[in-house]
Amino acid sequence: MRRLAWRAALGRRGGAVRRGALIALAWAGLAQAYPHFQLSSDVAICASCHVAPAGGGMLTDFGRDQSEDPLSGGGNGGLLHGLLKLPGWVRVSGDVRLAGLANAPGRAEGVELLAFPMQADLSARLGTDVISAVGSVGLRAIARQPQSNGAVVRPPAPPVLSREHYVIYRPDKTPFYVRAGRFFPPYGLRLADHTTYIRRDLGFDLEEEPYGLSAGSVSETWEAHATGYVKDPLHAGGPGELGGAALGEVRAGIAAIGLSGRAAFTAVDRRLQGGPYAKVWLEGPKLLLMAEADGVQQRFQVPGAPSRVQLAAYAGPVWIPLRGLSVGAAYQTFVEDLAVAGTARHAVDLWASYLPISHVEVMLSARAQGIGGNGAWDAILQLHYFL
Amino acid sequence: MLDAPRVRSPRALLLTCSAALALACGGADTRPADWSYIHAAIVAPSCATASCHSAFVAAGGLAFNDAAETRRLWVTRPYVTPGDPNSALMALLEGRERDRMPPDAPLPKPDIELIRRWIEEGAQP
Repeated sequence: MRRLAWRAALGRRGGAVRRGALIALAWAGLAQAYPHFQLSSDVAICASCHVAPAGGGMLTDFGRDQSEDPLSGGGNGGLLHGLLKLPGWVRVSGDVRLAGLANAPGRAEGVELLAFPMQADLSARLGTDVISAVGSVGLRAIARQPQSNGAVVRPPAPPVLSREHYVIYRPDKTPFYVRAGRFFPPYGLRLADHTTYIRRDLGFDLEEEPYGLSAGSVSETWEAHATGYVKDPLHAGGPGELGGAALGEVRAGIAAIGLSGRAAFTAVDRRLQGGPYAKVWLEGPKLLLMAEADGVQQRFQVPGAPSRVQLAAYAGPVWIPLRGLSVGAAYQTFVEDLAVAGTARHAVDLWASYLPISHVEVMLSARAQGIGGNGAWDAILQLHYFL
Repeated sequence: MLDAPRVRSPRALLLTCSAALALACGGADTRPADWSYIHAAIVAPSCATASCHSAFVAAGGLAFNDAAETRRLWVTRPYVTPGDPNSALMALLEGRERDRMPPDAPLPKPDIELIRRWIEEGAQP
């Protein structure tokens, strides 16, 4: 009988579930995961360590165990370092992330230096492993106070928001689930960094979580998710959007291969996008290789306007030489319109993340970009603590 | 005898590769300098992002999610002076002002030039 490790892990601490898994360390206000932990240990199912069925965000008890060993230098991964015990139907988590940013987009005054609270979120899950309500509330990450040229025509947005809130139902002893509420549809590699092109330019940028209804199945060797969603015109960047997304992933030993697709419809355009992604873990050199490529076909509901084809791709290794230390590099590209020269962006990323003990992370990352003939670079230092 | 071009830094190398790849996979810009298209293809995805100039956040008091309202704001502030290719907006997009917009993801040159063409042709709605 197929063993449902992800379900067994929920609510169980230090049980019979195998060691190693994915840890959720949300960043930049997004409840996403660090996907390089997925295959670098011997549990490959995101939902073993995360409450969400496709990973990201709040940790399960098993995920907290993993945050002690092997994913950090040690400590106690429990809530408030194990000082606070809550009833089984209550799970609480939180993230605080402070950032220092050096940004050089090619501006008259040179390098922009900023320090800001990148994230301050509190999350809770109320319910059982069969049915529960999950939600978060936190501060909006505001890196800079923009200047307005003239009278302000709109009041500023509230400083507090809820990025995710949903109800999830998992029929007992089955791999299936149904989820309804606000969350990102599972798509692609699900990287933590919302500024990567395969997130920012494919509809998964900061605060873009739509409202959706999702169903799926998660088991040891494969998982599949399908989501119908709506982006309301107030919170979404552009016009209101109706759409659907689907993801399928198969896993065998050291490799995971997936395919995702999405269709989105607004009053001004129609987007069809999709592509494969893959991860391979090489135990000898402690390297995880990740790659994703997506094509986008966009048709505008504008008389005489040409449709366009876009390309977004990401590839790079993550090296995990020591317990708690991850070092990564990536090349990424986004071509805004394949028919127009000079509309491509290319970037090289370098980053290092160190978790000296559970709950604590220091991360340094840098990116150099070539943007249609312009150059830009940025570097960011993050100090992260999770409850 | 001509010297081979020298790449002096990783940044220069990246720019060189970017330019070569970009030129290799595209042609001349035949996109229309039409506001409806420019808003849908460039402004909405680059500026009216959920955490910046969306209707909800409206950074700086400015929301760019609606095409007609965005043009009205740009012309009345005035970021855009119809017919003037050196309008204030161009300085922001090119980084000639204190800040550059978008601050984290500057536009590629063809997009900036398309907006300039629209302004030169009268910034019609």
